[in-house]
Amino acid sequence: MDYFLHLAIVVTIFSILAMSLNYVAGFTGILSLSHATFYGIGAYATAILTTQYGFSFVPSVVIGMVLTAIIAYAASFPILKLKEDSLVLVSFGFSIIMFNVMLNWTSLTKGPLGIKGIMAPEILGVNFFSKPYFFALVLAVAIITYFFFKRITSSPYGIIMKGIRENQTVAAVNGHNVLRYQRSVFVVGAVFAAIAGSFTATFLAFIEPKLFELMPSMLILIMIILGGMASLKGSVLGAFILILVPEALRFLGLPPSILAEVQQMIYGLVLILVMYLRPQGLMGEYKI
Amino acid sequence: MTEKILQVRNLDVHFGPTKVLHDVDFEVRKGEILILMGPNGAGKTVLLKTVFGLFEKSVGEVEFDGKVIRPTPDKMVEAGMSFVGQGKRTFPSMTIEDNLKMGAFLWTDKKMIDKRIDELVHFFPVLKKKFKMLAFNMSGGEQQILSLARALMMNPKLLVLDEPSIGLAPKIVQDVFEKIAEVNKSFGTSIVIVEHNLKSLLHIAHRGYILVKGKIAMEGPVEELSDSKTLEKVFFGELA
Repeated sequence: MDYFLHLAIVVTIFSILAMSLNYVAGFTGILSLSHATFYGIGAYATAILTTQYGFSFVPSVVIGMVLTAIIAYAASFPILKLKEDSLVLVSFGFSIIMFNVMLNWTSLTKGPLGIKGIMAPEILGVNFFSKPYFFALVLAVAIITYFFFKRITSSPYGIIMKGIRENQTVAAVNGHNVLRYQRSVFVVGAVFAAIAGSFTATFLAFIEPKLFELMPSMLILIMIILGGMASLKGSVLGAFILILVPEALRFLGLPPSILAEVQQMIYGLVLILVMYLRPQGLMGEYKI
Repeated sequence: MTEKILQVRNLDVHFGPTKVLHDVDFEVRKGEILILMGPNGAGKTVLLKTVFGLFEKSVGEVEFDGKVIRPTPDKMVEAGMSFVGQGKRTFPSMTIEDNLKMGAFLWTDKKMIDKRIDELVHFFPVLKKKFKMLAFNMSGGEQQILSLARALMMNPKLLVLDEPSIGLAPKIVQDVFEKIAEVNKSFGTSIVIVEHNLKSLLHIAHRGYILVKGKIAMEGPVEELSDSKTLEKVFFGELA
């Protein structure tokens, strides 16, 4: 039971991440490879503030969200100045820089040693250390995330987001300030990634820079490509499949030393198969 | 028809070291259909995109409806100018309804938007039939009509169309131009059209400009400009 709850929590956290990236990449067309960076900023904010400065969980999450919003806003200037392939590469460059900041700012992040002993959330006197409680909390946040993005993407604002994704020039010609819309979407998506990061930090009780490098960004991206671009339900489905299918490998008796590599090969294979067989993903609105 | 909706004075535009527009003076009068002619590379699209704020001007002044404006697309749309660029300018994976909503830039009142959409689908019946369909399922002519309708969502004072006949069959071109004339009559919208397909357009336009190598070479009523010798000079380079 404990194992299944563990998986359910991981799937739910990745669902928040996938929905927030789908909001940025699927609905608005900003194919960013920096999502894991914002996930990491949220995680480090909670880890540092709770272990080194005595903050409780909720203020640490709020500070993580604000810090992420500021960094994402600043990063949006070089990233969103460019389009398509160039945008992807600049967002990748940004994630490399931030990964190295996490790795080398040892006085704050403890570098490759990571931060240990991160306490489980405690809100209004209720401790969420036990897995059923933690799952209930993260599930509630995932449901709020779903309805938040659902509401925005179904509104006139959401129509403009899709228009920007479809054709930025025509959207601009219709009087929409494309860059302002993209910037707000990019920042909001990053803030939700930071929330997922705060939960990851308290769930694992330990974080290290490796958790927030390029591979997790790729994994989240593959989740939304598999689940379907511009589909929130697809994002959840993508997270579900890509967490659970590689997990099944544990029962095939593969040596633990090659398990991680085989999991990554599965992600690659899924990406290739989806692009060939169903480029719009399982529940997607359009082909990537 | 002498009141001006748009006046451009002494406009210069550079692309890097290359000067592409030279001291252009250009005006559009209220209620008229104006045609902007010239050979390829003359600077017609650059002129209109600069006036709309899609390109930066080096020197010059743009006055719209009596006010001097530093053009940006959002400011120009807000002031009452709509621009339809070349080619299929739709949002292909969005429904016709959402394509039209993309044109309702400043309005937040849902009823107002729905009312305007109703008026436009009545005016362009082809859109009514396919209202919930995705735009990429429409033919080229229908997509051009959709672009035109979207540009009219805010009931603009000036509509600018950059080569609306590109890629369309002659019969469809005729239909599109008839609709453009109807827009001018029904809504009183001033219209500027950049077009190579002059034969179909000259009978609906009132005035025209001929632009050659970034300079205004001629202007006047279409009857004068459509004189075959003048057009020959334009397109065979003698006016350069």
